[in-house]
Amino acid sequence: MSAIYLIDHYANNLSSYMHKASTLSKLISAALALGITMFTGSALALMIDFLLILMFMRTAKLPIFRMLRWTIYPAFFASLFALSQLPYSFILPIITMFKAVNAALIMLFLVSTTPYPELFSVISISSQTIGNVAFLTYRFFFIFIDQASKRFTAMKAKGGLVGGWRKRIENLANFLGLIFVISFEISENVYSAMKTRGYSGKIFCHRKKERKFSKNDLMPVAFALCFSTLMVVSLFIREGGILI
Amino acid sequence: MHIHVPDGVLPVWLWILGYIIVSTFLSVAVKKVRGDEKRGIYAAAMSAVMLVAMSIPLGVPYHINLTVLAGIILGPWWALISNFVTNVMLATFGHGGITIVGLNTMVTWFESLVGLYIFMTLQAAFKQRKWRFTVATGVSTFTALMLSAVLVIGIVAASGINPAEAIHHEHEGNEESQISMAVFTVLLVPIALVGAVIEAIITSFIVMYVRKVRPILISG
Repeated sequence: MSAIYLIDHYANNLSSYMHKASTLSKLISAALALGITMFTGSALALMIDFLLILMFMRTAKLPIFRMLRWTIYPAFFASLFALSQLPYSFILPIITMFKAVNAALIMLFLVSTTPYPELFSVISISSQTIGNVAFLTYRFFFIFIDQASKRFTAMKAKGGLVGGWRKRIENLANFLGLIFVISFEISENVYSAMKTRGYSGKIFCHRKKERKFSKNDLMPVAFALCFSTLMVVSLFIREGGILI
Repeated sequence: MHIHVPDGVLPVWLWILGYIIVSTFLSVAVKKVRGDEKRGIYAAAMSAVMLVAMSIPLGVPYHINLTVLAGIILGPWWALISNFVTNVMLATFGHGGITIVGLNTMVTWFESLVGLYIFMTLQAAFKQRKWRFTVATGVSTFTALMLSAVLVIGIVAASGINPAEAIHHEHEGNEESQISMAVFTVLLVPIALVGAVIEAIITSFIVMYVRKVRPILISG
């Protein structure tokens, strides 16, 4: 199943302090944590950051192992860079790997506790056009993935993925071609329906209640505070001459 | 398939520069596409198809990204917006860093642009041939993806440049940017090559199929 599908499920159907916190506080805390991760040069501090994120994910009732599985992809590409740094240092590749994985985990933490449309409303503040495309992409994705999964199962059941590589690639491409054609037909229908409802290039996905602060916002504040404290401590230790 | 640069490997000045460049082009794109709402819906559909295609597992480093097809279907400006939205969504679950969205969008838009122009040139050159769409798609996809791998290597090489050093001629330690380009290139090129071949074949088949079923979508 697609990552977006599950992430959307976690963001909309799980309940925790983090889920109930306002979008703004979550965005600020994630940006702060991300910034600190990018500027931290200590492997030990990044390791502790990593554990901190997992701990906060646990409190938000998110499945840790699935989240870690999703970091295989950034970890793989970070390993290309880490291996390229090996001729210069042994500690630098570790820092590179942790930075990539931690950043991915912070983003996963944010999107698994905040529904995508709320995040897109931030994009639409800077550009309505891009915000619209983002929001519609999100809507279409779930329609298309549903169509794709039904047809993929049908293709598999009819032996579409057995046989030689040539046949398999041809079937897979035909399947993608079919999804492509279906998606454009659906998008045309959606456009016609939106036009009849008076669509003129603007979609509003703002929800006022997300801008209010409450006690639930203490969770993202605590998240950002832990990162900031750890950075300050690691800087003090560095200044004191202890290298980690 | 292209290389999604993760967070934390490139220096801050480089990814901020990526955001500045992409923001500039995006503001131009938003002006250019104003009033073309229908194509905006297509752009969203294309982004969603790209995300669905990326959900098909082909092993860890590989997935189909269809950026060249996005260029062919949407044209240069909508392709930029579509690529940006796709990269933002991908970055939310670790496919490319959130700080690198600007640079990754530049790379994917480069694929769309190069792919589009090679496709247009080839299909015009072989106008009388039946196979022109298939060959033009395959060649343009392969070339665009290999050139985008070169662009990624260029970006990573640029990460070794210290702007302070370049501007003020002062030497400052730039620890973060210590990447052996030889090792990186040796690791990247085989992955990019295999990915480009797979994507070129699949994209050609997709275009063949679409030409059979809905030729109006890819009319050249």
